[in-house]
Amino acid sequence: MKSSHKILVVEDQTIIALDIKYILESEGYEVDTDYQSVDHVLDKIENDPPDLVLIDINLGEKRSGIDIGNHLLKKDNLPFIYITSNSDKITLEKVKSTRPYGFIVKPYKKEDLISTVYLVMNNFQYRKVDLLRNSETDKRDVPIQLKQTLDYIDQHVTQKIDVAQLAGLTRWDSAHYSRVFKQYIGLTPYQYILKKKIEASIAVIETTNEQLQYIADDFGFSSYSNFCNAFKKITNSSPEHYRFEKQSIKNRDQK
Amino acid sequence: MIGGSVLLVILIAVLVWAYQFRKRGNFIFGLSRIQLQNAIQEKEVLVKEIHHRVKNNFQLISSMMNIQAMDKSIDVEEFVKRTTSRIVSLSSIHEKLYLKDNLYQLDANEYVKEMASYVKSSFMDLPTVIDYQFSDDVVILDLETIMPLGLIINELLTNSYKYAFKGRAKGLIEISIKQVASGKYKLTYADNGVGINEGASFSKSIGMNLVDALSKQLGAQSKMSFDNGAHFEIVFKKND
Repeated sequence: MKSSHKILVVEDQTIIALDIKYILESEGYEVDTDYQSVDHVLDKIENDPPDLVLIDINLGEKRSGIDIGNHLLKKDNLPFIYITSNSDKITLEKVKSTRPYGFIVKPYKKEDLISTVYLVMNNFQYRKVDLLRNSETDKRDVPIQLKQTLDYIDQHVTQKIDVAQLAGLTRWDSAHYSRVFKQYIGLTPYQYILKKKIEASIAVIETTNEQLQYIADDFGFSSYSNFCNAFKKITNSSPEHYRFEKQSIKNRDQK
Repeated sequence: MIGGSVLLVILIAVLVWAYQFRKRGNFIFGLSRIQLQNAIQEKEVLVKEIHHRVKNNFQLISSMMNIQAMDKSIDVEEFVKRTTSRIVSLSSIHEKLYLKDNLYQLDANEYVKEMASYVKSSFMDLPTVIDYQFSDDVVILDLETIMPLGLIINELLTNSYKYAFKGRAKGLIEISIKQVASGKYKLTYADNGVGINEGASFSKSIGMNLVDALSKQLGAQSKMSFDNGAHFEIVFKKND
């Protein structure tokens, strides 16, 4: 993981930019407040992309921060947060269409700035996990009791989960629970839990350099070879090979 | 019979006339309603703009206080004094603007005079007698330009009053804003104080950080030197 995240601050009022810089630097971020024009910002995003962009909306020129937000929406590779004193309906309507990751109203509180930046960075990093989480099981037609246990699995994916525990959340006994589960989800509870664990571990394997043995441990596998077997069943690849491939793709993209 | 027809014709004529009159009346009334609506809409946009500016100014003040709070060497009284001085340099712009017909522009040198006299009054206990020399040029600048300019001058003035004239009976501060080319202006600030020795602390201070940041906002590089007193210069463009 990178030791310091770089934040680009798009703010034409230099005193406010300086304040934001000092606040975020004290949290360990690297902060760039050099604002010249919208074009200059788009250039920077293209050639030296930061990890997060903080955008003021009214920039004293024809184009506004919303134009930058639109650009980022289309590129879809960087999280961004608006920080603005415009919070009227018309502005909000425009803001909404660019799907920002956060919105901070001026005058801001230091704590709000810090926590919003922290949360957005974190959510963005783990958005792959969320995508996997929501990808395959359509939960709309699933009985509410079963749904609750699915949510429980999602929330406790790093812990050891057994069927008796899940059945305990419903009115059913373990055998009936397993039958209902298979009927609606297409997998046994055990298979489903394993699948969820592997999917979540994939995101960690991709986004961090954490040792694979530790990752296995973090997701509640009793041994590394258990983890490898489960991983292979679902991805047709070993964890080592998977990480190696992902990283060589990443390196190729960066070239 | 004839009388009846005449009466009928007159009646119809009156009705037609009344109808047309009503129509015309509506027409006139309708136009003025559109005009009224436009005027109201314009006002609404303006009021929104004002709210936005007010919020932005609060943010600016809050940011300046946050930045000043990083300097742990000054006490509460000094903190309040510096903050107040910055607020006054912002508020006197609005004071001047709303007393004028032109709500967006004002004469920079006139504003400087007023601000300088405020700073003077806030350093009443200083033993030094300080005189000012201003420019009488009329230099009309807009709000967006004059705000950073005013804050820069406020920092320079505070620095002069605090450090430049220690142990002196008299001092002189010169401030002028002049047009140097079409759309190009120059602020010159100078005091005849002690210069480099004591002034050097300024280069590391919060005040100087603010001056740097504000100069950048004016899109200009500033020059500062401390030989034979402090000397500051910045050339900037009019906001377009």
